Amino acid sequence: MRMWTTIAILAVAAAIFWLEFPRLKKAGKIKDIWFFSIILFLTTTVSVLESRGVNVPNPLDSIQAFYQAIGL
Amino acid sequence: MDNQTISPRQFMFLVILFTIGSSILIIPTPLALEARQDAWLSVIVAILVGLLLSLFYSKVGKEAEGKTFVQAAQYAFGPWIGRVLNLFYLMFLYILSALVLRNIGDFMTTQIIPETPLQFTHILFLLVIIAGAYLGIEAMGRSAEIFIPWMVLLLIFMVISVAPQINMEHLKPHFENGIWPPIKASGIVIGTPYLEMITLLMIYPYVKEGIKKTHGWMLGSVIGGLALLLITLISLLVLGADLTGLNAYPTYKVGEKINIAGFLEGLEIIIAIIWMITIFFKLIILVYSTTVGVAQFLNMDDHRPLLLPLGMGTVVLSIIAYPDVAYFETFVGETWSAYALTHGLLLPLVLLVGLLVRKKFSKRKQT
Repeated sequence: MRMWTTIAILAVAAAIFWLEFPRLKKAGKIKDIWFFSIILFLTTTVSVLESRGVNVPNPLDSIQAFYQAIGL
Repeated sequence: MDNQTISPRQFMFLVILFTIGSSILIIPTPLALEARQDAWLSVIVAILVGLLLSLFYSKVGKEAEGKTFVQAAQYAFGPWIGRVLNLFYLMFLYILSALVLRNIGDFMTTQIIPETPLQFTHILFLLVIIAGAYLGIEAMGRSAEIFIPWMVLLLIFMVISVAPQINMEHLKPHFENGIWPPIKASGIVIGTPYLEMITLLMIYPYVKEGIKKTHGWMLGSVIGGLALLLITLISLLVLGADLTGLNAYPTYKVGEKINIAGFLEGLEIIIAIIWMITIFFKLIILVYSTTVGVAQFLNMDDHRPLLLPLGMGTVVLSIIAYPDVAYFETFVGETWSAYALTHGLLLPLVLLVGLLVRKKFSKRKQT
């Protein structure tokens, strides 16, 4: 089951890439292609980790810890 | 991002929907817990504060002179210090959009479609949002114009049909514990829709020029606040403070009570429709602002390629953001007010000071 979830996420990521990349390439925006690919890679990584049951750190935890530390 | 504009009227509608969205779902319960039967007073206090806040935000927007928050911060503080401010700002927006998505997802899974996994509700809801954000701010403004009458009609219909169940005794005794607890509880309402209005500084530059911009913002926040007041009052009057505080979705419970002459029942879905419309607009504003903000942060020309990758991240964040409702309640109760206060008040204040200093500085250079 987990296997399939991972494959599905990778397929979605590939689909997003396939959808956006030609348009960016046609416009010739090299910088935009890089940022787009990096962000897509990061979110895909996080999604895959989450789907594999890895404990992804929760940003809300750190926010809570920070505001408790400064005592608000 | 692009050269689209919306009219001040459309902006006002967006403000109304932004104020109502998701707060309508989550406000009545904590309010009834803290302020008991005087919760209506908290909402009124919050509306006044919200009025001041919208005045303050539009002042910031005016000083930014047609720049979005992200652009203005990078202009006022230079690219690097400005980017540090923007990082906090964008993180606030991103986390907020994940939380709002989770609100509607939680509601759908617990009340309407319990068999569907949370992830799929989120993905389906977000796909529509991304399609809307892809079309840009003009389409958002126009669709807000289309949906506002429906919202008003449904709200009026709900109030009228539940009117026979209203029991004025539920509001008594007035000010049981003095006037202080309801005023203190108004922080919930100030934190949940009003301080989040900082998001709107991202779309403020796309509103056509004119003093009406400020009026639209203020009027919108008041009308939205009045709708929240109406919802809180209805839940208090129909269910009483105890039941309102116990239910996760008190207005939905009110909808279940609608019973017209014994044959028109099960109209709670009307309330769910109001929620979905308003949350849709709140989320579309958030997603659009976040994406445009990230694009401007990275000096990109177009925000559209980022919509889908960032949307993927939003879904994951909304799932991991909190493991259970208890975590969410402590987070909203203890941390959210401080988090929203630092990002909704301190951040624009810093930006305003920076912009004013910058203005003075460049004026001196000219003369």
